[in-house]
Amino acid sequence: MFETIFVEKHLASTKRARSILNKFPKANVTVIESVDDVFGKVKKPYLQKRETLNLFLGEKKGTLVKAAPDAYGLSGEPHYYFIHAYNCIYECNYCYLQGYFHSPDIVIFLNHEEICQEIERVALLEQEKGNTPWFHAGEFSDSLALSHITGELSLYHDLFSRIPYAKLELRTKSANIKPLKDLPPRENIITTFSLSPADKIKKNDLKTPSLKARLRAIKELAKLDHPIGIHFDPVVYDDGFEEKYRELIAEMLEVLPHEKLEYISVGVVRFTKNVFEQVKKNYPKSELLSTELIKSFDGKVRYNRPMRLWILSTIKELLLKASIAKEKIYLCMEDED
Amino acid sequence: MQLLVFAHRAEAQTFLKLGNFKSVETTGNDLFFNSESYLLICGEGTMAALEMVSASLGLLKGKVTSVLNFGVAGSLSKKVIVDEIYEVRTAYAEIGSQIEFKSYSTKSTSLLDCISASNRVVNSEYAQHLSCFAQIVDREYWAIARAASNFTITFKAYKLISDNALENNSDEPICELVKTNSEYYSDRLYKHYKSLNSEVTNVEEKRLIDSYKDLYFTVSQYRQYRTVLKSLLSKYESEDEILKRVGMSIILEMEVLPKQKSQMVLEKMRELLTPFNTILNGKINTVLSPLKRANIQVKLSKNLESSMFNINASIRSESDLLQISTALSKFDFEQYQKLLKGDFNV
Repeated sequence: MFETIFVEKHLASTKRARSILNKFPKANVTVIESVDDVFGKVKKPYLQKRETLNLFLGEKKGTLVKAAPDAYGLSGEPHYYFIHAYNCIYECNYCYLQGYFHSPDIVIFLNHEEICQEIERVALLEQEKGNTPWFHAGEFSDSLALSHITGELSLYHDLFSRIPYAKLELRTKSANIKPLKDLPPRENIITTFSLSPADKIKKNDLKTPSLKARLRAIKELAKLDHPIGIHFDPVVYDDGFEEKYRELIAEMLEVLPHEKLEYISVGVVRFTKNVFEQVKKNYPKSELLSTELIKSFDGKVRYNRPMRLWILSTIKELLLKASIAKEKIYLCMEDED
Repeated sequence: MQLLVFAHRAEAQTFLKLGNFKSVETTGNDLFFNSESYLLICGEGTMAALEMVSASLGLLKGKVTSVLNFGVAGSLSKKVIVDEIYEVRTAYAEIGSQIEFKSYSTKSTSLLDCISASNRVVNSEYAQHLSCFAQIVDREYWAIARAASNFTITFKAYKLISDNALENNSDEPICELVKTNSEYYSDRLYKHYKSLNSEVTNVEEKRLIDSYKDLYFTVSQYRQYRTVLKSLLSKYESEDEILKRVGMSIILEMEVLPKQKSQMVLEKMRELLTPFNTILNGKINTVLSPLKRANIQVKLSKNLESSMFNINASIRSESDLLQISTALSKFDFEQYQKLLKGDFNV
């Protein structure tokens, strides 16, 4: 899976690093002073991740918990994200990571205790203000895809068990729920799955588990009473759009009873200019490029306003018709919408 | 023509001998040509290579279609074996003591990258540092790739591995080895060059549309057809499926000129490319029709990002004024706003 694993010198002999290194006996191991000495130093083409993907093990420095941008999660509450990894093993052709780090290599940070301390500090401050803070784990990586290797999930589980006034969102496209199944469910730890119609997953969520596999994972976790959230994001329009989403909602509700759905968010496909350039370069034959995209009011590339509002309201209608409570539906809209 | 680039004359000796190259007289003694290609000795190091390749490409502007670099290099990885020749995927560089951010990639399927070091790699610690970025080390490929890239010319590199840089501890034996074996290295590189399928014939693909004799595409229409088709092929399986969806059989039966039929095909294909907006525009046109009938020019917001729009009309008489006023009163603004907010059925 990984060609070379770079590990920071001061971490090389730690239990956490050794446990990860032991899982990749065939990889070359190179000890470095700091991840920053190598990762992102050169522009490595994104698609080289298919053949020569490297892994970096290091310590996250600087700000460990960051305030999330507006329109990030459910509105009305403060949202934060923490960074325990950079990049993803999957290859979604719309993903903004392809234009973000100038390298597809994966970085895993190992100083989880420090990250947990900072989360607790921020959570306490928010609690004092009477807020319910949300912490998101999947800003620059998939929250669960590598969790069986990285092994940090139990630490965050312990933390959020101690601070029930704060919420943790584990956002994933994976079906890798084994480490989570071993932990007791908590009301404030919500696993959220990104779902799209099966053909869209095949075309756009490259190298990710199929819709069936994700639905199976949802079913298992729901049975164990783990709170589940769903993201229909990004929604890509095509000829059979409405029917495909009607079917997807039905399939979803077969495995996830209404009462076990925490919330569902809906967002229409959009790209920053840079990411769109990367998509054109990396996936010139992608259907995303032949859809009806325009350069929007804020410079982002997306469908025109009537189209994206129509898509959002159509999916909302479908969800309401499927008896999903209005309060659980969250539409990701821009200010201008 | 190709431009073959070597750092040292010794690496190029077999090419010069067997390729019947002659010196390009206006330059020094570093640029050569024969009936198939140019050959440049660019010197060692990124500065020299960047200067020489850029100058040569400037001199030969329009004549060079690709740049090929052949040379001896060191291994920075166990999987790069001494005495083997490898094609390079991405070129990285060390400039001074810093690793340069810019990289240059080819479409090669090779999995190996090359870093052009600012110094000769004479100790294993230095080699270890460079091995974080690439599996092969040389002194010039990055500069050659950069120069070619600046001229938007494709480039490739083939490196014959002379030594394992991770095991080097002294400059002399390696340089000596390279000098002693230079004829052998050049022979190997030349044979490799000859084995390459250098020219890819660019035959234009035949299109299914070409078989319809009842259609006539102008050059411009045909170009548009290919562009739209390319986009549609990311949505549909084949040209055949697209032409069926366009309703080809109906268009062919119409009693219009072949050129008009071609235009219809193009319009239908565009509709297929933007199905949602075709419907939306139809609805907007219906709502705006009272204004248009009264010769009021309507300018919608760019990309329909806002409900606001501008109108422009000429009033020459009382009747013009009345006509405009009636049209405006008939115009259903609420319905227009609904459309712009996506409140309609598709």
